[in-house]
This record gives sequence, C-alpha cells and structure tokens, in this order.
Amino acid sequence: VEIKDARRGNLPASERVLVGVTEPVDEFTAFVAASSARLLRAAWLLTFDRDDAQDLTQLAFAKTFAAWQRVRRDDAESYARRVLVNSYIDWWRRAPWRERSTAQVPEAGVIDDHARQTDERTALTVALEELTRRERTVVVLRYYLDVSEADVADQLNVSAGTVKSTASKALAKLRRSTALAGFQPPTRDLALEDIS
Amino acid sequence: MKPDEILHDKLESLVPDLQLDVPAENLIKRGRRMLAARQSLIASGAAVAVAGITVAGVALSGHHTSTVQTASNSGSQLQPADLTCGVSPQPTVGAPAASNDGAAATPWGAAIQGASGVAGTDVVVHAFHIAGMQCTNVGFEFAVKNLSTGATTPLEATNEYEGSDIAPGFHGAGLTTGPGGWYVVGYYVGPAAAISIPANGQPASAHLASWAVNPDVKVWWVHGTGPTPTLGTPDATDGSGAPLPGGARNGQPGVG
Repeated sequence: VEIKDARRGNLPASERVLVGVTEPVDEFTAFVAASSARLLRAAWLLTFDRDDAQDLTQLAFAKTFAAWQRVRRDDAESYARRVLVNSYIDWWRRAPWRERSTAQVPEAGVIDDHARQTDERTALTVALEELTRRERTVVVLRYYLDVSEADVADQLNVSAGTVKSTASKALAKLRRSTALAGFQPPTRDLALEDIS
Repeated sequence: MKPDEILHDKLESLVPDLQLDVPAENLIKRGRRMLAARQSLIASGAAVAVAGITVAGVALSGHHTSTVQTASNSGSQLQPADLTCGVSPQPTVGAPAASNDGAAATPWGAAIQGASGVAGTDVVVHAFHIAGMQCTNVGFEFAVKNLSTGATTPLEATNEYEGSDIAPGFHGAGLTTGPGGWYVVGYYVGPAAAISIPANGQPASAHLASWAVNPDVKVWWVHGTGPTPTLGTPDATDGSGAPLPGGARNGQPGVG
C-alpha cells in the first residue's frame, strides 16, 4: 500500500490544500500513533468486540483527517472521540441486529489465573453489558478516558445535568456488581442520594 | 486510591491487547474520500441548479463508447475535455449528490445487490456522483444489508483520485472489516468476467457485478473471515479466461 502524493497536479484542489507547508499528513500520522491505543481501547469497552472496535476507531480517524484543517489546531483527539462515541450510538441504533442480548463474557485483557480477579472482571463485564449505550458511553468517557463532565456533555450534545444523571444511574447499576461492591462514586460529580 | 481511579483500573483490566490493524496511510485515504464526497455534495448542489440532464459518451481507451446517461429534452451539455486525464468528457450532472460521509444520498443508476458470503446478508453497492475532481466523476459505496431486518452497515465508500476514474483496470480497491469478517471492495473498468485476489497467498474469487449506468464498470467484492489478510495483486480475466490489464498504477489494493 502506498500513500498518494497529494501534491501531484492532477489531484483536486481540495487535496492539494490538505498537503500544505506543514505537511499535515505527517502531523496526522503522528496523531494516530499517539492516540490510537487510547481510542481503540475505549472503543473496545463500548463494543466488547475487536472488529467493531477497529471499525469505530478507523472511522473516527478517517473523519478526523477529513476535518483536519479545522481540528488540527484544536483538540483533534476530542474531535475523534466525539466521532467515535456518536458513531457507536448511531450504529447500534441503526443496526439493532448488532446488539448483544446475552451477557457473554468477552476475552479477558489480562491472563490471570487468580479466581477472584477473574470473577471480578466477569462481574464487571456483565454489569457493563447491562448498561444502555448512552450509560456505557458516559462511563467510558468519564471514568476511562477521564473526560470532564462538561466535555462529555459537549461531545454527546446533551446537558451537563443529563450527563450527571446518566452517570449516576450507570454507577448505581455497576455498584450492584460484586466487582464494584465497595465502590463509592466521586462526590464531585454525583449526589450520593442518587446512588441506590 | 480515588474512586474514579479504581473504576478506571478495573475497566483497564478488561481490555485485551489491541493495536490498530491498518496504517495511518489507509485512514488518510479514507478521509480524503470523505472529503471528496463532501465537496461533491456542495458542488453538485450548485450544478443541478443551473443544468439539465446531460448526454455524454465515455470512450474507454478507444475500444468502444458507452452511453452513460439518458438525455432529456433540455439538450446535451458536455464539460470541456480534460487532456490531463486522457479520457473523453464524462457526465457531470443529473447524478445524485453524495452525503458528507461518502454514502450516496440516492443511487446513481440502479443499486447493485449480491451475495456477501455471510448467510442472511447481501452486499449492496450504490454509485454516487463526485463533482469538483478533475478526473473522477463517480464513487461507489459498499454496504452489507441484513436480509431479515433490512438494516445496512456501511463498509467503504471508494473512488479514484489518481488519474482517470474510467481508465481500464482496477480502481479504488480497499480492505475493510464489516459484519462477519473482512471485505475487499473496489471496481474494475473493462470486460472482466472474473476477478480474484490473493489473500494470505490463496486466491479468493470476487463477486462481480456491472454498474447499470456504464456496464464496462464492474464493482467487485471479496469476503473472508478471521484476521484481516495480507493481500496480493488482483487479477482480472475476460470470458475466455484471458488476462486483462490491471491498470498502470492501480493494481494494488488500497491504491487508486
């Protein structure tokens, strides 16, 4: 596979513009190298599927490149993350047959023969699978990628109050899991009375 | 340890080893296609406002000429010949616009549908019109349709962006993943009766279908399961089994 030389004369003006003096192709390649692991892992936590995680992440990067002129000076990863989570929500809405209705345990990330830890992962996996798409998205953004509540609201195009209540419901569900039995939610985001 | 750090670590413990299975170059190529389709939407909107339906013939390296668009009573209208492409003028109006993510808003010509290789699903291909590119007028969007629910999952939108989009040979070949495994998709220009591509060294036969607007354009796709394969150079043969040209620069998957 070779990279097109976008500076050839017979390419459209749009592509010639993309390759400017600062070589955004190199810049974008560096961006992918720096952020792909984080986004791919987040996508896996959303989907519990390697192929789906690849699809989501690759789509997010491609759309980010298509918008590179606009987003390169801002937070490109934030843009890619926005595409990723909204694609996740949209894809599953449009393709309900992709939904998993079973609490099938995905492959474990760490080979660990310690029964308790394995049980914890299994319990957490089951608990995550019982969340709605939006709840799981909020959990992954907020507590895995450490995105601020305001930014989660912005990326999902909802109010901060919606993020707060969605996270509250999600954490309440997770706390019923043995994996998070002793987990106390961060008080700065959540009113304790919201947690059942 | 803070509560949110505990949750972060527990989530982290679930995730398997992962790395992106395509190079950044492929993402750039896909992004460029999206950009081209987005600009097509803008350009075609303007073109449709001022123009009627076009009649145009497309010469394929002097072999023959195909009618690619039916005339209306608004008369013929051709764009000036583009000498850098080495081809005759192509139709530019009367074709549907593309959406901003490369998906066809409405098909240009009849949609193509054929077996995907995954039970209960078909591959559906829509052509979409691209305006504003010097040598490319058409792109193809591949999707997988679930025959039970009717839901479609986009696979890849592809178009040529190096040289003429109707030069004989392979164009826009790309590897992607989708429902049930991986897919190689692309299109070929010429009288191909069969196309195959080596996947992990083993030849894989492609599904092949003609584009109704220009039957010399054949869309093709290959489905496989398991990890995405290492691909070789695709081959095309005519009805008698004779090899056809692959194209000077466009024989490799992911190129052109």
